[in-house]
Amino acid sequence: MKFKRVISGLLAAAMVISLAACGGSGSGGSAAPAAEAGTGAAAEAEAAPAASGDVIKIGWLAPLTGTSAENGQQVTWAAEMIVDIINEEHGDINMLLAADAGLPNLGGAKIQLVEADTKGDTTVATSEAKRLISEEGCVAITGQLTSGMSKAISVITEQYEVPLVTAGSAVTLTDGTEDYDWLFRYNLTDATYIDDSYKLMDEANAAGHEIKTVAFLSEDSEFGANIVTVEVDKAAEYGYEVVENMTYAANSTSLSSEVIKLKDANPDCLMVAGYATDVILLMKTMKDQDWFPKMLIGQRGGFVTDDFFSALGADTEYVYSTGGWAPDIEKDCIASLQELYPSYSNGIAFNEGMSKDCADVLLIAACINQAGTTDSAALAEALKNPDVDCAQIFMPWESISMDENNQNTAATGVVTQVQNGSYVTVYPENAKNADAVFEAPTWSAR
Amino acid sequence: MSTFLQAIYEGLINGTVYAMIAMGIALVWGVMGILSFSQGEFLMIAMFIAYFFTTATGFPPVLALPLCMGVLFVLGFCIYKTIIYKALQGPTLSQRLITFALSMVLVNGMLMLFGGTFRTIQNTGMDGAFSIGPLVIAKNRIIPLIIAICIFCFMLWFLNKTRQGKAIRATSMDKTAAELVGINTEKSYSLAFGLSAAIAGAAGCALSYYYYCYPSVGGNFQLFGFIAVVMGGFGSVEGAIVGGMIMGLVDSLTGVYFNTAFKYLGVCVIFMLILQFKPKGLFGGK
Repeated sequence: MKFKRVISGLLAAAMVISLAACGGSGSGGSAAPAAEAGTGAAAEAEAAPAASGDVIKIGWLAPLTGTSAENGQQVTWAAEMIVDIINEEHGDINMLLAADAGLPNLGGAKIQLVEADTKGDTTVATSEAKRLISEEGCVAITGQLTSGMSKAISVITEQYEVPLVTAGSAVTLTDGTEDYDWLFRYNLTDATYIDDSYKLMDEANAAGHEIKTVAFLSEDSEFGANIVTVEVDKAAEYGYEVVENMTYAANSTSLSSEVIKLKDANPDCLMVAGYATDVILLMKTMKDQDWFPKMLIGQRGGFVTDDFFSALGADTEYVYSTGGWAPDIEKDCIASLQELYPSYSNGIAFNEGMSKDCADVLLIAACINQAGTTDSAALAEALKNPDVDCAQIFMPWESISMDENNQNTAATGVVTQVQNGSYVTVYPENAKNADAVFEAPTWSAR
Repeated sequence: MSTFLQAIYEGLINGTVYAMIAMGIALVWGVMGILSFSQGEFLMIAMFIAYFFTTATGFPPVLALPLCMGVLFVLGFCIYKTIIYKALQGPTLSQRLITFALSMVLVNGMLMLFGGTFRTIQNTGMDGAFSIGPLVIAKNRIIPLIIAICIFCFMLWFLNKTRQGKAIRATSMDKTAAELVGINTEKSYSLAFGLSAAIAGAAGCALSYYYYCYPSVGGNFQLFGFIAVVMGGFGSVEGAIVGGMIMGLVDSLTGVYFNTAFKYLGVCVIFMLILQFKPKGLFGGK
């Protein structure tokens, strides 16, 4: 009887501890008192301290619990690394704001990343964004945000007139469909990523390979839906025949029927938009059914996560991924970041999935420094016209040029291919470090 | 024809996993009237055991089957004795929700212990595929199929032919009458819960051959397990097997011949149709 009580007690304790771990919102950062003053939302935001003492707060939203927690945590570590580089003196790193401790134009003020957990849920992300602005006094919001989340959060940031910098890639965020005054995007849109995919296929054809047909497989949330819309439109533009176009529910228990249909259609190129879980299952199912297309191009998502490599190992070979970054881009600071990041991440390497969101943190800090103030209007003006040396940013861009919808039209991407266990840049010509293997061998020939 | 055969084969393979999850749920419901929301988490724990066993020893996951089933049986038995037993003496709602709370503890406990990394067994010792006519058969899907068939046969034999199995069935039919004829119903309850966890253990070991493992993985399969149980008839182990297989086949055939986006719609339509004609499920009696 005593034994049962002890076991019951232990299980109850485990329940409490684990639920506490589950419920931690990760709203790190100081617990500043709520700014109750102000009648309108904008006034409320203005009333909140923009910079408390020598600290300037940037709101950081990422999924720190839930299915995407692992990835969200890795990106958050990377953002913390960038903030540490900004706040400390790193003369050895050729990156914006690294040479001095803090922001030189604001008397060495430090950046504080106020972290909040979105749990991968748009509703939670929106309420956390509101809290970060109105209670924490964050001067800008960024993070690991999907396009859908960015749209939802923009309702709050437009209302409070606080900049939201996103790396969400949906074309509709900055094509003028919606009138966003406070939303900024320095990274690429789906249109550029998909242009790169078709141009790579063009290169394959120019090299004498027969790449004529294409199939699309996309998960059914906003991420996949946005991408496949552009993929279909551009297939006609580039003259490729679409032989299959499928969507599937994320976190599927099986992708067997999808692979059977793909095998039946046998496209020369397969473009996939999916998160890590489904990408892993897709690759395993394709191997089980002994089918692999000549070219498999992943549209980032699960293809640029650490899980992709750790779960699939050598089976990742020959897979392409579009991306806004690659480890072999020739920028001085990349080697430093790659060396430093594992100390934040328990050994995980810095990757494409985290680079874009981290670049946004760096650019926000640079623009605050450029503005010399945390005033929203001045910061927005700096974000529209950033005066930065792109050689000191770890992204492949050579310049930044913001259009009337606050989209960086000078952003460029790369296409990488897994060769010998890691991604190497194979497109465009001026950035590539290896020749693409245009026709992947069958599973049995590997 | 080759597409049809492949769809049937893949559907049957997926159906075996749904069926094994469903068997455990059906057994626990049939015997003690508790909805086992933690069945998916038992499967998840077994996947972790199979993963770590294979990674540490280099042996194929099938050799971890006795370990998975043994550990899960003991875990299920202890959970019954310490948690479920008490809940059965409380109000009905507590009985219904206790396993839900347990599943939260198990998911978050595993998350704390092992993090949210997706793990797969990269070398199952059964790499590659071979063809039988137009059918492509992945070697690493044969073992899960054999495991499932063995579990089905064992459970049907155990429940119908052994003294203890008959005692469990008698308890599920009428607990008071079973006690009157001298059956230790308490033993039947604890064995049934332990067995249901062990079956999930076998399912987890089988699934680790081709599916990724992480703390929330059980939730992906549990809902299908519940649908299979209701489709087959609540409390019927035979019904759970048939329900699971139907789900796997409908899922696969809808995806291939209709639309992959609506394959779960196909499962739900068939489910509703069956309940229209057989409200208590296929094996639920009249």
